[in-house]
Amino acid sequence: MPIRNLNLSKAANTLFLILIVVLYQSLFSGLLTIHRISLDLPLLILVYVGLTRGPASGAIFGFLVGFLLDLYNPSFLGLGAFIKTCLGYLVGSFTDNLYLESNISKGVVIFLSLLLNDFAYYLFSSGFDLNYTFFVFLNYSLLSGLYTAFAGLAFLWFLQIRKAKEITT
Amino acid sequence: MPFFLFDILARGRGPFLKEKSSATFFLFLVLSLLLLILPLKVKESLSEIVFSFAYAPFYSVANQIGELYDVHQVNRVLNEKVTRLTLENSRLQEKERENERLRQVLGFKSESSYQLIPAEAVAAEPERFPSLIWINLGEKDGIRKGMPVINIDGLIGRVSEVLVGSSVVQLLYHPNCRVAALDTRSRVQGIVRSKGGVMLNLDNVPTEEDVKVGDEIYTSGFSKIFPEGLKIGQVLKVSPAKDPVFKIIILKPAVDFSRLEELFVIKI
Repeated sequence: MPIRNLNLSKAANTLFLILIVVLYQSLFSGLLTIHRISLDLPLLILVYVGLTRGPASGAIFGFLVGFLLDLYNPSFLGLGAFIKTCLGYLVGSFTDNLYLESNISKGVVIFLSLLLNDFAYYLFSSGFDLNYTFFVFLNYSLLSGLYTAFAGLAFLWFLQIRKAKEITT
Repeated sequence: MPFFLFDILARGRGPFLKEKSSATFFLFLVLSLLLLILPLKVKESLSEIVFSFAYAPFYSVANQIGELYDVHQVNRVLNEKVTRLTLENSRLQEKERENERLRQVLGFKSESSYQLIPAEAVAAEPERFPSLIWINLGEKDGIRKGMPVINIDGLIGRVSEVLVGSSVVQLLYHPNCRVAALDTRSRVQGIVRSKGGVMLNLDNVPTEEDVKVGDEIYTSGFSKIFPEGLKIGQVLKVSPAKDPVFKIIILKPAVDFSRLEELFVIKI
């Protein structure tokens, strides 16, 4: 019974995170885009899920998020899901091998994850056109990665401050 | 990245710790690949269906919020416009009234046989029924003590003091103001004076004289101060005489003394 409750709570939590992704994509992504540099919140949440819940959850969440994002571009339906499934699993798997106590290292993981995700996506979607891939990668992905990593760090610091306050009270 | 992963998975080492996790990963990987190899038409139909469930409601809400915001903005702009136009409208109405009044004044001035000097009331005695007002003309404008002051409705009073650039006008309400008057219907003569309040009295009319309610009272010209033919007021009430000699006659002034704006001083 407790295990079932735990699974239910995990599923509800995942659904909630999926809802955030959908809400963000449909309502707020445009608001947080600065000069075509967007905040990749779905990826940020994917890294968070991978780091906190492990490879299996990372893979499932990666698939779901990737699939939802692929809906915007049906020609490549499955590509985003494939890449994000791998990414979620990869981040979840490396959790124990990474020193993740410091926020900086988490920020680096977010940044590298986004670069990896974008590089793979543009490489596949362009039919392995390296010129196009590097152009997009250098012009948008690097800055978007930094933007997302800093946003992630800010969120982590916010969580830590909140946690510290809860402990003191 | 996928090749790298396949390599690790194939060798069965690296960071992959649990069999269950690997099975889940492979399952979703296969699902992704299946999606990738679907025919384009199927992909499009599938995307359309899922999109309509996952995103469409939120986009609809976002559109409605956007429309609501637009309506709110338009409403704000229109409200500002309405307020501005209302103010402008009331200003124009005031201008129209002023224009109409000035037209009347001009007409009156051209019809009048007296030499009139246009003036403006600039201040009044701070009383409930002021008996003195100040006008914007003085000695330098040719104003002299004793000159009658009128407006288009009738007699107002006379100039009682003259300064360089302004003058004091003693209104009909002033206790010292006396005007020789006559009833235009019966030609009965009397003296108009104030006994306080907003009405005037026509005194010195013998009880047997014919004065009726509604008769119009004008200056008679017998006093040297006021020329004849200036309207003073209308008989409002004729009381049965307690006094065996004179009637008590109440007049309603022709001029609304609470709205003195454009005036004329008669040059005599």
